Amino acid sequence: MTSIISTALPAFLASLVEFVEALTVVLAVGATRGWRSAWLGTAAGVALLAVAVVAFGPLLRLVPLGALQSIVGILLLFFGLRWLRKAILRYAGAIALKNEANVFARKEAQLRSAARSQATDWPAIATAFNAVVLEGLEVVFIVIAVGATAGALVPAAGGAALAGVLVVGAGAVLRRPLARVPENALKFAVGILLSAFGTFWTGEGLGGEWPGDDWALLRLVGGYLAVAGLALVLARRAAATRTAASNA
Amino acid sequence: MNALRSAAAAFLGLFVEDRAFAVAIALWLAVCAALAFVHAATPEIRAVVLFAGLSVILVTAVVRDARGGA
Repeated sequence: MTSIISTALPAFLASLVEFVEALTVVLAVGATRGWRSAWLGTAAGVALLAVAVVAFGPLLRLVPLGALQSIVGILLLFFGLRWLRKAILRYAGAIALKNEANVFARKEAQLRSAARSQATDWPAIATAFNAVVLEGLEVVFIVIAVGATAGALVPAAGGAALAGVLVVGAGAVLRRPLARVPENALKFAVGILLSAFGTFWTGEGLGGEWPGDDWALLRLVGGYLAVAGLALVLARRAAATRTAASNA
Repeated sequence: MNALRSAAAAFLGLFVEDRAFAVAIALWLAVCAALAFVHAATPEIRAVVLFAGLSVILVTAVVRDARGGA
């Protein structure tokens, strides 16, 4: 039960963010260049991801679990800490908070100004395709990373699928970007979870032993939460000092 | 070839955004691997050292970026 929650929850939260980001671009394509191009690009992107999963997925079974945990742990560490760093900087005001409504408007403007072919709107299809493949790749990585290493691929995939259904459903009904989704809070939380997972598996891969075995994962979550809190306080101070110096 | 290159760049971008931050993490992992190789300290201490180092790297990178306006 614990492994189901500890894999399904991060997969759900991280996928929610990725699906929201992909949806924003697909909606911008649909609104400006027509829904046919948006659907074609999306379908092609989903098909490519499905082929990649079917082709490379079975290879995972050939990798010994210890090696898989080490490799995935290291990748997860880079991935999780990257998200956490950026989320802290956004909270501290050092970089602007991401706003899906702004992303949508910017993408819409780009698409309106882009040249349009007559029969098939390739730039629009490519835009939707790229967004779906890039964000989808992150979803696939997260599901494999948190699912395969813990032997709970099905709950992780279930969490991601639920996020996909929710976001696509909301997008289909609203037909506008999901600007109210607290993206930075989600990225902060997921950054902490993935960093904790990554540190746990990497530590084990390097021959370390976590005090308290699997319970160490919870301690790592608490540890990263404390470290992120400290980093946020220090970053806010640093950003304020910088602003004061530039105003002087 | 260009498509392959941009696909590789996109994949790398999932893990590396700030090069200095990524290099610091990689170096710390190398140090931890070296500690494991020479069996320095107990496995429990090595695990804690891994977390402590990563925490320092995270805080340092965030403060540096906040100072410099990332």
